[in-house]
Amino acid sequence: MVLNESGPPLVYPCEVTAGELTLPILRRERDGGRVFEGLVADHERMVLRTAYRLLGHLEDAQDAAQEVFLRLLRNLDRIEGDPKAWLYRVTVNVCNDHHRKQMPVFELDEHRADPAPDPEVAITLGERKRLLMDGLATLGERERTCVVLRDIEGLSTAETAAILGVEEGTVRSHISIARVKLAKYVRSRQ
Amino acid sequence: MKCEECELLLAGGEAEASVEDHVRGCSKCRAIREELRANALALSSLRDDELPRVTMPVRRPVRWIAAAAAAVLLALMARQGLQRQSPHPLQVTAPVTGPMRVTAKLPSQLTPQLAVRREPKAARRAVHPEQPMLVKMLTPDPDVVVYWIVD
Repeated sequence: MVLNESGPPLVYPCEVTAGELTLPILRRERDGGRVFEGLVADHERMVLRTAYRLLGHLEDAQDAAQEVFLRLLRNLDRIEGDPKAWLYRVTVNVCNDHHRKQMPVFELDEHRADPAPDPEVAITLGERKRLLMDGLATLGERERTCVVLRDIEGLSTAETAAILGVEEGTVRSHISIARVKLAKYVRSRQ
Repeated sequence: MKCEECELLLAGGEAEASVEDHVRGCSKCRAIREELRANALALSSLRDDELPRVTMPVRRPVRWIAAAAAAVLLALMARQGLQRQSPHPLQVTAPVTGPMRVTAKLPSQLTPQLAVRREPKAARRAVHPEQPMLVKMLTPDPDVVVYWIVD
């Protein structure tokens, strides 16, 4: 059954058998539903994971993922081939919209003292991950998106650029600046 | 080359000769390079980390309300159709908002007026005339089935 919250009410003829009344699901919609369910099953984790890294909160990420799959459902007929890049792009857009509406911007304090890295100070991998996740929230929208797609999701620079609709050089620039900012953030909190 | 410039090039993965020359002679930038490598490793390992919960949420309350409304509407229209003894096949206009199938069991003595496929009269007479209508709603979640009993 295709979700039809915004459109007009759907009219279904009822098939009545002895003692049982059944609301049939149209064949085309049922097949479309199967395709959709398959896409959700295949990409659910990817979308939710990306949204979580971009937003930093699971509840927000779940809302974003739901919105992404709703858009997928509405645009199912228009998507050809592997929908992975489309899903990444929509996830990024939905998360950025959400970020603009909900999240205060915590820019990294550029004037904060930047201690030199101390090789003697070792932090665990788990602690570093936690600091990096916190640091992601301090980045600008494009920088954060580039880090999530390129460094966490493992996409290439070309793929990231295609998803964001920018030049590869722009992605490289964002990535460099973002990595330096993240390193400073981790260093300042060790 | 300044350390800031070197750090930016290291962060971008640039392996220029001038960067290598600077790093060889600068302990601070060597430490920065190690730090960037550790961060890159940590970021890439985030991909395999389990999220707190990975199931897709379904806004069940809203859907249940819509589904319940659809089921009640369906039942009422079915009853109304029976009372009018309409010769036309029943048509249901329902604000269906989610993937679900609705199945309603009708009192058997009423079904001949709507029936496409009829059962023998004897079988229909066997059912008590005051048997309530049972509406069964199947949801996308196979573990969740909603029953409505309509008198």
